[in-house]
Amino acid sequence: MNGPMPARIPLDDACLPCGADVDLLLEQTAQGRGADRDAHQQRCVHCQAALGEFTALWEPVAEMAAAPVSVPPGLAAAVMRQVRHLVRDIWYTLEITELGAVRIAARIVAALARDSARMIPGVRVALGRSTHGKGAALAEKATFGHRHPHAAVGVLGRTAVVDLAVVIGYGDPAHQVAREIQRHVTATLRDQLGLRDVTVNVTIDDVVDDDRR
Amino acid sequence: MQAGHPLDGLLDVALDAAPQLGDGHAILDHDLQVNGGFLLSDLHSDALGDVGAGAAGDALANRAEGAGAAVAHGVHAGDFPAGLAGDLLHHVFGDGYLSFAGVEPLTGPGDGCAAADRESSQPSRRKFSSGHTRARPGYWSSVRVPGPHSGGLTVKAAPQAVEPAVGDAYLVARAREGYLDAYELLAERHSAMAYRVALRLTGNHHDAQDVAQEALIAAWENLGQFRGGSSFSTWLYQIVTRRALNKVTRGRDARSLDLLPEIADPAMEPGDKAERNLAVDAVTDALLALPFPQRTVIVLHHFERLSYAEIASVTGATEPAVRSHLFRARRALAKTLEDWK
Repeated sequence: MNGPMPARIPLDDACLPCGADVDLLLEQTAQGRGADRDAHQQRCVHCQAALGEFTALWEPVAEMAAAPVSVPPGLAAAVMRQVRHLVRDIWYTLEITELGAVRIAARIVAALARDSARMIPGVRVALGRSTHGKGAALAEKATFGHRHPHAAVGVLGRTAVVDLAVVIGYGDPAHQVAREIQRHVTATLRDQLGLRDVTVNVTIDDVVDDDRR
Repeated sequence: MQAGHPLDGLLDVALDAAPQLGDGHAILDHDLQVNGGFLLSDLHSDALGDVGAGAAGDALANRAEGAGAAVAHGVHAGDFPAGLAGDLLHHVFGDGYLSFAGVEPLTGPGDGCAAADRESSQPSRRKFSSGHTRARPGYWSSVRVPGPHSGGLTVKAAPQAVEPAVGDAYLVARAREGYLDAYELLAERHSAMAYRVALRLTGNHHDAQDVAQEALIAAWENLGQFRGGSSFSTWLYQIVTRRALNKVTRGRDARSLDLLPEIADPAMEPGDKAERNLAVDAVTDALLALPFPQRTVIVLHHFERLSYAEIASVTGATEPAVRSHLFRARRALAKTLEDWK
């Protein structure tokens, strides 16, 4: 024993009467190691008292840190809505008649292509984009003089070009999976959106081994 | 190539712009094909209406020859059909191309567009197909696979769950290439963290929601500046803490008692629940009473379990400074809680 029990916890002092650093004891407690006492702490009443008191003080903090926090539903979706506002929309024109134009946002085309690709066995992750921003700008520049009079800026016509970045499982037949993605996505975009010419570029850029994960 | 061919201008633009589109061989291949595709697709109905696909194909292939194998990937000679120019893109690019490393081009029956006919009609362009596997180390080479294809896999009834086979670095790289899907996955993966940290730093549900949203949107806007020196989550922590600081110092009283939302716990007696809520309120008050830098290190270390090094990376402080902040913050917190007890 190193002396009489302390009357109070010395939070204003740098050290306990035994010389132990208060900050280090607090750190030990806050890191959940209050019960892991070294040789000195096993003998010293000051340290034992301080560690006991600090553990009790820190308990509500530890409980709060361990408690799950309910995240507002739709937070990520709200973020993505904002992000999509920031990204200039590109449109495919499906039809231009006397009644007006029928267009579809390229991002919808990309989303449909992505979901369609995810249905192919072997596909672990599929990400879709229907245009590259720079590509669209390039297209605008190049076609400035040829654009259909009813076409707004960024309208790319009825030919959809979709890029799919795909991750497949280790051992899955890459050729077969990729071809099936192209076939299925092409059919889906033609059938569901009425896009006439569909180009589906598949990039298999990662392979994952499910067993190792 | 015929003088004044409508493809001239398009290809000039595509070839001029291609080097700016990416710094890698594979990226350049990719963008050339994709952007070339857009150019052609946009133009075909207006400018190419009267031009036969054969002439258009010649023009494209000739230009490709001049530009080297990178462009040749996208203008695979055997894929030019004897159709109308309006269908050029579809036939030139078929159902697209595949990109992956070290695989020879696929040809033969079932790979589309009457290969035998094309061989006889366009023999001079066959050489382009030989360059398909010329990838630089570390990059994927592009391999063109014309369609349509015979399917051999059974399509699933519903999309597979996409979570996640891939790490943040992969998603960040794809998001930077314009795949919004990739950023959506990142947002879904990290929105809880962003909200949680914001809630603990601002102490207010509404502010926390604002901060989390603003941070995730700012991360998207600044993704181009993220160099990958740290993890995406560390970078996001940085953005969240800065946004939270802005919110807190903008003058609003951040005090609120909803740091720990009600969690249904049927086993807990009403008395216990009330006591716990009091404790939560006390910790909340104690946290919010701390200067913001101290609050930040407490939240990041004791709530988010970040190491000193990670906190140093988030805050821009040194590790000793982080530890010093933590010492002071713990003391202040303990004092406040001691008074409450």
